[in-house]
Amino acid sequence: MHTKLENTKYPRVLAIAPAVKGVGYAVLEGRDVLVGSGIKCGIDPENKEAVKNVQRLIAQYQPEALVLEDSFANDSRRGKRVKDMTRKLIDLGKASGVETALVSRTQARMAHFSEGKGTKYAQAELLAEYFPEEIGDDLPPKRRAWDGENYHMGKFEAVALALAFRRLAGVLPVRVLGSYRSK
Amino acid sequence: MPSPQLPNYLLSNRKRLGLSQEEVAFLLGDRKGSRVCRHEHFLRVPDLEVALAYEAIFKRSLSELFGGLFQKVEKEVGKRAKMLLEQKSTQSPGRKSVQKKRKALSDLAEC
Repeated sequence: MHTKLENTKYPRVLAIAPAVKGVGYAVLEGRDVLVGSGIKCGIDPENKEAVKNVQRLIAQYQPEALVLEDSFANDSRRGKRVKDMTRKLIDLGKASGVETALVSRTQARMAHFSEGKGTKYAQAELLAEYFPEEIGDDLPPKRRAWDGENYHMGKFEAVALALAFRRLAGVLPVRVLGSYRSK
Repeated sequence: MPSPQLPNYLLSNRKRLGLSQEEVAFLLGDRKGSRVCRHEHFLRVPDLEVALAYEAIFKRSLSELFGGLFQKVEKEVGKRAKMLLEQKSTQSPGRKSVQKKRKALSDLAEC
């Protein structure tokens, strides 16, 4: 599936995750060098802002792989809008000539937790420790039952996807990564 | 084959130090952060004085901060070194200075 990626030891990865006000993104180079991360704001029912933002990120960072959350996987609880966004970003990846990979929640957890199980917040804590200078200061306080999701969590989700892709690609067969399922 | 580097790593280094664009601009002697923004988004290449200021601020060498640009320049220098080496191949190798020159050009051509 990723013939172009096989020739590059550590392709530059741009990971995109749905976020509260738009999309979270993370750019990984080398084995685990986080060269960029953040949130790109903009939400609309047709995901036009998200696609525009990711297009700009692709133009800026020239990634060799675009990593998205697999919102079609069995373990996904994503709604219609996010699934539509994922389809549009896959199409954008193809149009931009960037290899696209889908990583499910379960796969991301497998990459970050020794027993493959853990909460989103616990994952963010691990990543804040792993990249203390880059994102350590942005770790939000633990969410209480009545809190909405913190603005920064989308960035941590994107970093999680990027690192999971890097770890899984070297360890598990490529077929473990999801592929685009047509409507 | 290693992946090509980004033109520069100013943004990630700025974030590493927890500085804002305006703060880096101030350190560079600017009033606004717009020039820093253009550098970070690869829209402009800074001049030598500003590049050296970035090195002083981030405590990283120029070739590290401007990795992609350095790779491009290194490759071009390598090509020209190879051409020069071919031109000099007719010179007698006996003299020490010629040997030194050939070694230097040969090392450059390998980049």
